[in-house]
Amino acid sequence: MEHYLGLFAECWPSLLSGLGTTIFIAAASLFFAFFLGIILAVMGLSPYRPLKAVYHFYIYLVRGVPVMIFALFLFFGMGALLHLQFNPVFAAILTLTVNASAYLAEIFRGGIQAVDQGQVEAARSLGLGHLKTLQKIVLPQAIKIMIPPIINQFITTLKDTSILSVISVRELTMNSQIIIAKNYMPFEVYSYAAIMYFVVIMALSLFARWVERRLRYDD
Amino acid sequence: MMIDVRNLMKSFGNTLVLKDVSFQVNAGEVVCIIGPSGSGKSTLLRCLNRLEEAQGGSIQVFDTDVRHLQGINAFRRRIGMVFQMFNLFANCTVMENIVLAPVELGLMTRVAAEAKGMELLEMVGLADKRDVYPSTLSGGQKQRIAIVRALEMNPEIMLFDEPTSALDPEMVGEVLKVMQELAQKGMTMVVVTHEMGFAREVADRVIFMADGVIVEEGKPQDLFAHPQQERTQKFLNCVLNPI
Repeated sequence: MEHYLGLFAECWPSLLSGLGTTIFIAAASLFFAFFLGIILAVMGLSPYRPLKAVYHFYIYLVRGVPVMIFALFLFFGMGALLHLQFNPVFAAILTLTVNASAYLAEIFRGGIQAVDQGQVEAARSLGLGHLKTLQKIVLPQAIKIMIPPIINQFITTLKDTSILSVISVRELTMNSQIIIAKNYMPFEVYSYAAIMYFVVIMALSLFARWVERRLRYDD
Repeated sequence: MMIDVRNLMKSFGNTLVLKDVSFQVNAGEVVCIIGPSGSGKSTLLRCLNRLEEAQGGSIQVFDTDVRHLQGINAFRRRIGMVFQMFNLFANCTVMENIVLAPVELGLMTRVAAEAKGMELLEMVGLADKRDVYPSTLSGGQKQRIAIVRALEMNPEIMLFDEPTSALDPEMVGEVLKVMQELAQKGMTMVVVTHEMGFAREVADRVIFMADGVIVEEGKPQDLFAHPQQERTQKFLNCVLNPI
């Protein structure tokens, strides 16, 4: 036990800096993905067929390619093709932005479509326009439906950052591997990393439950 | 004349659901539309405030050409609609449901809208429910509040789309009573319903529809006692004598 805690104290600065990078990449990616996801969802919900087609192509493409392949292709593949050296953090944020935006777009689209059409008809029959109906009736109900899957996506993206060690991003997983390469103690070091991921994600989950409880109005 | 529908045609895809339907409603009149499910009753009602777009014929409401009018929202304010599934806004309390449209549309101040809302809630016996969410209410309570929400807009016509079909039997009466009071006050009403008792007691005129056409219409005492068409006789026989 003394050994376990002592080693942890030794690794702590490097692991903490890795965790910082992990959270930074996840937060930045989700920030951009959120706006991109809204734009995509609007395309997906539009009655205009070409926009819908672009939307579906994007969703299928992102869902069909593993995050790791996307990151490797972007960082090494595109780098070789264009003869340039991407900044790994930039490539990481781009990778996860593209990935999360597709899943968030589907969450937004699904949330809006899940609102009972009768709610819209009632609002329209009272003379409320499209935008007022969206703002006062549809979005408040859709957001409530969307919150749990959005938080779920935050957690998924946070965990997906560990894949980015393959393009040498100095996040938590990569820093653990670097430490292990020096001290040959994979059991201890990976367990530290696991606990650190777990603590952050647990906090996020608890926050999600709190938000959900606060948004509840129907029971 | 409040409503004048002529040669109305409506189809969903290749299915023609309204075939050359014509009827009129005068100011202050209560018209009940009865008929088997799938006969086009609800679709006809929904064409009147353009929740459905018709494909042929003309619809005049308050001398407005509904099919070609600009500014549908200002037109819809003048027509109240009550739905089978109530459609109270789930994210709003009872009072918010009632005042949302008049306040958002700038027709009333919030204070005036709430005062009027309270009056109407008292009329339907639900003043104590002003601050609860719809999910805590029974079906009969929800529908009475849906009627209040429509009345808050001071409509000149009220449309009812099977207002009691989704209710438990013991709650049908409380909703019909509110509708009857409304009729007695002279409201122009078009009611799609399966409540033959209500049609007989309250309607000035009953329209029987089947397969997308108006088969027969007349005063309730005539239509119920002496239906002229075989299709009407068959329907009434089934509905009035189920066993």
